[in-house]
Amino acid sequence: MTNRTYILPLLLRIWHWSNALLMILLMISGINLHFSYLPVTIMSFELSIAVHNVSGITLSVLYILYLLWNGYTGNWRQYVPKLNGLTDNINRQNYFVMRGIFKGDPPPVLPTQEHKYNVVQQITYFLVMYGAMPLLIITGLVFFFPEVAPESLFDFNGMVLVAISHYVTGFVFVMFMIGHIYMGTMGITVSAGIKMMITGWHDHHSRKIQKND
Amino acid sequence: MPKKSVGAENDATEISTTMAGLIARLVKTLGIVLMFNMSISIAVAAELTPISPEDMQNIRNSQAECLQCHSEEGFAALEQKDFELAQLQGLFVDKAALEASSHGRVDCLACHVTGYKEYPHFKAAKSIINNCDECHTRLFMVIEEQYFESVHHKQMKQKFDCNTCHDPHTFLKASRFATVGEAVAQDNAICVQCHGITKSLTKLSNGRQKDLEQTHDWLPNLTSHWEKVRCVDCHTKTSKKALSHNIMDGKGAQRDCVNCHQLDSDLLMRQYAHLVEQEREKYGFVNSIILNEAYVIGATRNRYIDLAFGLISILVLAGIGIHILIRIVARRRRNNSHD
Repeated sequence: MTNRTYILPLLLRIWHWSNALLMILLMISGINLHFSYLPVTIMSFELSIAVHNVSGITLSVLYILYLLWNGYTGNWRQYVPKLNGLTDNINRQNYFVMRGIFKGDPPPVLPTQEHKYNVVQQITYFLVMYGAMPLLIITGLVFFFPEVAPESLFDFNGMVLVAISHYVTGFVFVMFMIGHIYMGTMGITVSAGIKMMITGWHDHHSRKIQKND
Repeated sequence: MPKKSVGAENDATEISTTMAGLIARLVKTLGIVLMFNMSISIAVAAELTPISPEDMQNIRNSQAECLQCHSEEGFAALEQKDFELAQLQGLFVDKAALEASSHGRVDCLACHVTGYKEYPHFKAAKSIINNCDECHTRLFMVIEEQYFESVHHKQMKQKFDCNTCHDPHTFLKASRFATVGEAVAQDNAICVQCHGITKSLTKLSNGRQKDLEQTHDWLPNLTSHWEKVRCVDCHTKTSKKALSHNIMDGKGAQRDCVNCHQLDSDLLMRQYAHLVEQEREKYGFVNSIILNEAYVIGATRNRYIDLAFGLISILVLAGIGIHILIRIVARRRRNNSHD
């Protein structure tokens, strides 16, 4: 029996890293636009607008392709957690993060072709990809067509609430990104998850290394 | 002795001349001060002082008398027309617009002073209409100074006066509009009268006049900017007395987005200047006077949200940092116990 499994096809990895790059660009340019008078800025206000617009549109196109691909291949099922034993699975995952990892325990769930994600990943990715992402894209697109925003909402100009929703969702993504990167180090070894995202292969053999650590 | 007396006489004459000169200057200065104060009161009184119903009625009666001929409705209602409609073309005033304008409570004869009571009007009367500075003296001192710096004065001073931009029969001060957006629409319409050039007109003028959309194509969300920002907000130099008359051409105009798109936004010195005193942080929003009009990236900020996000970021990063630290320590301990 082989010690490694091919889990992530090339297309999925390209999509993942494109998303990562675009989100970093969106984060930097977004911070620059919102806090426009910082003493140190990575890029000018004008460049930030261009970068934010181009990255935002590209991310939206990628998201639509992702939705189509997900629907076509049935990959969307990967994001739906099993309701049977849901609480136990969540508790098991939380125990690993809060205690098990310090004791050198292996992750309770290892990725396979059939089940790529653990239950916490499933719930988080589901909320992020099917809740936060559409909200981020829709509110972002309204900036291109401000005339579609309501004239006024709760005593404010309609764009104010659209913009705040965009800002809040953007912040959620930044937090997700930080958490996601860190959780990526909690595989069998510190680098196993990141290696898998690059090569597509998950090395089960690493379990031994982890235990020996 | 005679010499001395002549000298003394001369001295006395000199002193009296000097004194007379001083008194004359004093009287002149006093006169100017008095006129200045009176002028201020004339312009400001119309807006600030309540007009009694009787005085208001007199003003309306006087306006109605003029509008009998100088409005389309009035002219149409005239039973005996002693002149052709063509003679009055360009001399009509919109009654509703006049009444709603900043001069709506001013008697027509306050500006059209000489030769207008009689009918037909004295021919030269047109050239002796009161200048704007007769009432707007104090503002005029700043406006004139700014205007002399403007591209309009530098390039077309023969063709320019106040009325070129500000129709005294319709113009309304920004502070009198219900919303800033309406004031923006009025002010931008003034510029567009001459500068609203389409591509075809650009071609006809051999490129002397540029297509506005083309010259502003660098501006993101062009329509939003044109609807929410006055042309003069970018096409004037920033000054403490933001009366926006030092109008610059494209080369001299503001191009730094951050002037407006920041916490200390220039917009508060410009189109929102008359509202700045009302500025109160509303639900934690900074520059809250803009909230009803627009969302201005970089200027519309909420202190609470920014603070909360800052704190959450610190907590998340600190949490991860602690987690990493515990992982490192735990791993070392495990390694040591294996050894």
